[in-house]
Amino acid sequence: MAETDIHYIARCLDGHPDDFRYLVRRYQTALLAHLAGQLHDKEKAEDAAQETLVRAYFNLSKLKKQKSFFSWLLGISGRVVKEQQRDRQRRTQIARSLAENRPTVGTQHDYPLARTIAQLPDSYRELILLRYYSGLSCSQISRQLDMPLGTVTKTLSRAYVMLRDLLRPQQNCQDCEVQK
Amino acid sequence: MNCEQCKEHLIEYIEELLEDTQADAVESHLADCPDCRKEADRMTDLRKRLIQNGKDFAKTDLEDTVFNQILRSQHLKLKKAGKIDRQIKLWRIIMNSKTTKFATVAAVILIAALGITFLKESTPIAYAVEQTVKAFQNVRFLHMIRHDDAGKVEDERWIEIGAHGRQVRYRQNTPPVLLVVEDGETTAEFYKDKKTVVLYNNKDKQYQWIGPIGAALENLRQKGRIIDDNVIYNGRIVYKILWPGLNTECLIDPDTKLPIVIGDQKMSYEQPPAYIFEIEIPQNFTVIDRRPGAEPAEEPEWLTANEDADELFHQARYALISGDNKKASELFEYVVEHQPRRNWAWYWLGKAYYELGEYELAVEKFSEVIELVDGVYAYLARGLAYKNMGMEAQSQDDFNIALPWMIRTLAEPSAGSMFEYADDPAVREGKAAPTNRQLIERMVVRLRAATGMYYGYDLNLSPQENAEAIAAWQDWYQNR
Repeated sequence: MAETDIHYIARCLDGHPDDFRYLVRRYQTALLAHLAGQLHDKEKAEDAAQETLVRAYFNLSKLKKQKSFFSWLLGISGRVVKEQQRDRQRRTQIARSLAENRPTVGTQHDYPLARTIAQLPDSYRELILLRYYSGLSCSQISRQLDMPLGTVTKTLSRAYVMLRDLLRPQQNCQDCEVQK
Repeated sequence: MNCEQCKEHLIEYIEELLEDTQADAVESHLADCPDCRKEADRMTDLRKRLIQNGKDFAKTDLEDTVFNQILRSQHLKLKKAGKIDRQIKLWRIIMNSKTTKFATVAAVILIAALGITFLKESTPIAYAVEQTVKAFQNVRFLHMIRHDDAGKVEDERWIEIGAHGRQVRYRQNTPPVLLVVEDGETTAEFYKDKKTVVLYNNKDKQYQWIGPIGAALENLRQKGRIIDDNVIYNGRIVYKILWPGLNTECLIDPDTKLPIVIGDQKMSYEQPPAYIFEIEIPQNFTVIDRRPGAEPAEEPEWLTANEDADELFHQARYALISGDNKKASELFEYVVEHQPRRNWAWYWLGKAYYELGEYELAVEKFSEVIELVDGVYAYLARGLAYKNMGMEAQSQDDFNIALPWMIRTLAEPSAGSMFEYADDPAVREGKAAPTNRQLIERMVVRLRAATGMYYGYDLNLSPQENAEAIAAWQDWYQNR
């Protein structure tokens, strides 16, 4: 975690594509988890994450607030998801694929949790992803987002409560099924 | 602490962000309050679940896939641009010529065929400088050789790199005089003209090619860049890259990703015969053993003079840095007398004379540098000296050699590092590390001196204004 996003972005713009690796390393897990939550499939999420990162690289010069690289990345990923879903719909209309009924690959991932994170409002989601999927500490997040540490912990706290509430009905439902 | 306060601090408590007293307060409340304890347990469980899920997703590594895709897209974009140009040009040539109009159909077929071959040959092999850095990490033996114009070996080196990435054994043959062999324990300097070998403990004296290899590779990783990905060398398409730390261009083998040419040296990586790193002393050689525990022996005067020159070289540099050009010139004169192959001593001697207004002497010394290492910075320096002597034609010839590098610095500041090193001996000490903008600014100062043209570039101006100044210099260079 030696350098800031701004540093690596400047290096990329300066003609050092290698430095984009640091940004990929930093955000790939968070991005993947976010996309997995929306797409409910690891392979699709990986494809979308890859496309998002490549698109981000070629559009770096358009990024105005370099501090907000990650939320910008999430924005791009949203568009990629929409495009891919549209493509997929088109394809499935032409030929209904057997793959649709295939169980999700990579069941070791906690998809209900990822899905729930994807439902959080943007600012809460970003914080959860940065903290637990990019491995940034609260003070690192505070520096990166230029947000007081107190605000970070309060937002995180609210995000926790929301997550817990959103997860609860699912848990109850699972309990019901077990009881039956 | 009540329940509300406790809940407010719960996340900070779980995240271990609370100071001891506050944490104690939360803990004692939790001990007494089953509701809050339940809430805290739920939060902790959720946190564990988040961390675990983060770990699971972290198992996927997109880095290489993304990076290769970026390179491939970039490559395709470049190729596409280049290819379209080429086809239009070919088409125009065909259509402009009456005699070839008849053959248009055939030509179109030919273009199609060419296009296919072109695509085949240039199927993008994603390459990034970083791959060379990685490939280098597996290299155990380096063999480099430099020939003069007549094809005679000027310098040949073998290096064995140990598992820790450092040089362990070394051999350097610089005819006619010097041969150095390091077998890992002892360094042997053979002075063939004096039929003498000096032995040192390898820890006390080591020859190096580019200093710590790790640092040079780090420089390549950070600052290296691809200049051209389609250079023909010995009948093959290879990549040309810039290695700023070595101030040189390299050609990269597209298969192994290793340099096959660095500057004017050819590189290969085969294992040498065993004798290469063995110290073998000819019978008629005098041995001066300076290893610890050896008998002290009387040492010849030429050897001590040579060592004095080493010391004086550093003193001379300091004199130059501090502006004492007279002293610097005297000391450097001593150095070049005893170490005539020391190119930087010649260069800075020239520089001292230049500063003293002794332009004729300066030209003489810079010419020695050009003879020895063909340094592009020496052409600029000599050109300036000629200019001061009123010898415009000679001065222009020299500037013409230096200008492409100088102009290139405006777009790729690291290309100016060698000029910086030459102009400021303090750079050698690591005391002056100019930023990219400073590299550009100083190059603009040199450009003004050499060309008499003036396009504003100033650290105080806006990036926009400076970009315009750079573009003006580039335009001038292209259209002059």
